[in-house]
Amino acid sequence: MVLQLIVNGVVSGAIYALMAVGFALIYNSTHIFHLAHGAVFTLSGYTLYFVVKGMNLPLPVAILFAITLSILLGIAIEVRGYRPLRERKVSLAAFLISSLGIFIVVENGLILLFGAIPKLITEEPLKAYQIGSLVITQLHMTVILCCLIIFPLLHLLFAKTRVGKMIRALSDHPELALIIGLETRRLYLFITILGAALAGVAGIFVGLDVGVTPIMGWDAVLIAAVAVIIGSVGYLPGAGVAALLVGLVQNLSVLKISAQWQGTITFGLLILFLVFRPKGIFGKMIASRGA
Amino acid sequence: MDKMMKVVLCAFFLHFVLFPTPHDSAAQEIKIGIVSCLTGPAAFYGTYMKKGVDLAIEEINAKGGIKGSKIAPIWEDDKGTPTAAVSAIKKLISVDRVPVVVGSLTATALAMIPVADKENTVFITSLSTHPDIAKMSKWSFRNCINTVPSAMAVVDFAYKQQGKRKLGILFFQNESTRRIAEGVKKRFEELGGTVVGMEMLAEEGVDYRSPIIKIKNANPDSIYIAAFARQGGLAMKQLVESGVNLQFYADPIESPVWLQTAGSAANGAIYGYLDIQQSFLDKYKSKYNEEGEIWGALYYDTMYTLTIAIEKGGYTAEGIRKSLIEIKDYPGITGAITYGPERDVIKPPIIKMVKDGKFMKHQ
Repeated sequence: MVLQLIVNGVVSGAIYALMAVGFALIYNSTHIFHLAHGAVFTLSGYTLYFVVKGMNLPLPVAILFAITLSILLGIAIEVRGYRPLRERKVSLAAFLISSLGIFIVVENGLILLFGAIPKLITEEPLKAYQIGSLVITQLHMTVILCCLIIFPLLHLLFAKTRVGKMIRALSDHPELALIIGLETRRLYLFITILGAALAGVAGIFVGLDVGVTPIMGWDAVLIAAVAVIIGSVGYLPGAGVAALLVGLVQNLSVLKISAQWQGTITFGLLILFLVFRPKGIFGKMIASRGA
Repeated sequence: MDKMMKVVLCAFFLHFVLFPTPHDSAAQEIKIGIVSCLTGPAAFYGTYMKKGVDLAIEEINAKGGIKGSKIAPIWEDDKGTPTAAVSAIKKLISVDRVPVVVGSLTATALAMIPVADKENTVFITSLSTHPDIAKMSKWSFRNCINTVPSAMAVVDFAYKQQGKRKLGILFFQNESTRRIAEGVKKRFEELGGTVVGMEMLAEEGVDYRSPIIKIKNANPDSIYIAAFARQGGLAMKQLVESGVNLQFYADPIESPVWLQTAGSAANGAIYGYLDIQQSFLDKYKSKYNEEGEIWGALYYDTMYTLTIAIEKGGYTAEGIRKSLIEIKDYPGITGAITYGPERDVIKPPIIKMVKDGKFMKHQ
């Protein structure tokens, strides 16, 4: 049972990590509490649902559509929602309102189009494999595999490439980045696209696994935010590690506590960290790095 | 002068409060207040309800309504939340002055009944399976069986007919489903069986694998699921995905959403509920071009019994209340309806099952 719980924890943690890293990417460099990230996630799930169920197209096409639409929404949020505010140098609260507004519009738009009833994309039980007493579905294996590809690639992007370094520079000191001549506008756009694509992938996985509801984005974005805080704000891999931790703790807690408390545990974990380690798991490391 | 104006204005408005314009009794529309979850997460129940109510009213009005007056429903959306439900029923009673309000889910019904009780207004629901609904007020009626007796029938069937001895229970985080689960546990243990585990499905959850693994690890020989359509369907699907291929019992399962959510995992599931007459299913299909289901059917019957009560007792709360109690064995499409002095409909549940994606009598 423990092994099964660990595997399930890793799977939910991996999906949280996709959301959390996308959120962290945007939060770290723009300091916007990017609630609209949840809207991108939800839209991706619904696009998948619509293309598969409404247009009867094969899954790979639907995945392509879902990611494209997520990126387009991400770009729209940046260009229409955030950029004008940034150029007017308004306070961060205004960004938050703008973000929340976008979230609400998308959520209600989806209710208008598809209704409030949850929709399933895969109606049959997912194909599962049994290894000893361990049962794992095909989809969950795919989730883990995808994350094993996506996260190392992201690491390479930030560690080795020019654009990755520029983004880190921008996150560390936006004004200085501007002074040394970085094209911040383009960088912000790039960050948004990357973040939206990650949320899109997460939306696809959740949609395939448990179906879509118009309100699914809210929990997803809150867990992502918790992971960013636990994983130390400003440190991108931290968000991923913390998301994995949240997934594992949620699942393993079942051993001692009834499963009904899973939601509470996420925020309990946040409070524990805020009290005992307010700078998150990697707080000391970041401090010593001097960034 | 200013003061004078205020006094005049006050008197002017007070006039309306103290001496409201009387109703014209002749050729009036018969207004019936309806509060339901038309939007929000439980909106699909509200949609079923509306389809059943609309179908009944359409038929009744086509046949000339009640003594020549047409029924005019006044719909209010409570979004499934008790606070919105309370404001809705207050508005219906004080502004629209309806003598009867039709309600929906347990959560909202529990909040509205005290208001109906205080205002002496008839309240009736066909979607609330909580055991106390009709007991709460002499004005409160129910036309759907409380799921506890139907769950008991299923437990007896599982133990006596199918020889199940180790039951695992999953229940949804809600007052009504928790009561079912507790009833099931008690009954199964009284019969001599063991409840090996009881786990809750969280309200906002979509991933129920942790409670499922806990139950699986307790090694049951069958699973009882007390949940509403979406959560129950998801739990069933995830049970099969987690390698739990046992006999499932479930309540209140009878909703297309459950089947859509669970897919083939629901096949073979056994439950107890009421039968629906084919004539209704045909009418439903021709009007809405989709399969009829139990909740719409129950509201269809509810509207017919209300019509009878208004016809007989008159369009007053006390008249409707008395006549509803007097209704005996009205031949509804969900079985004979008698509310009785307990105001809670009595219909024996039958054992039903899901077969090839359809609800049917268990053979």
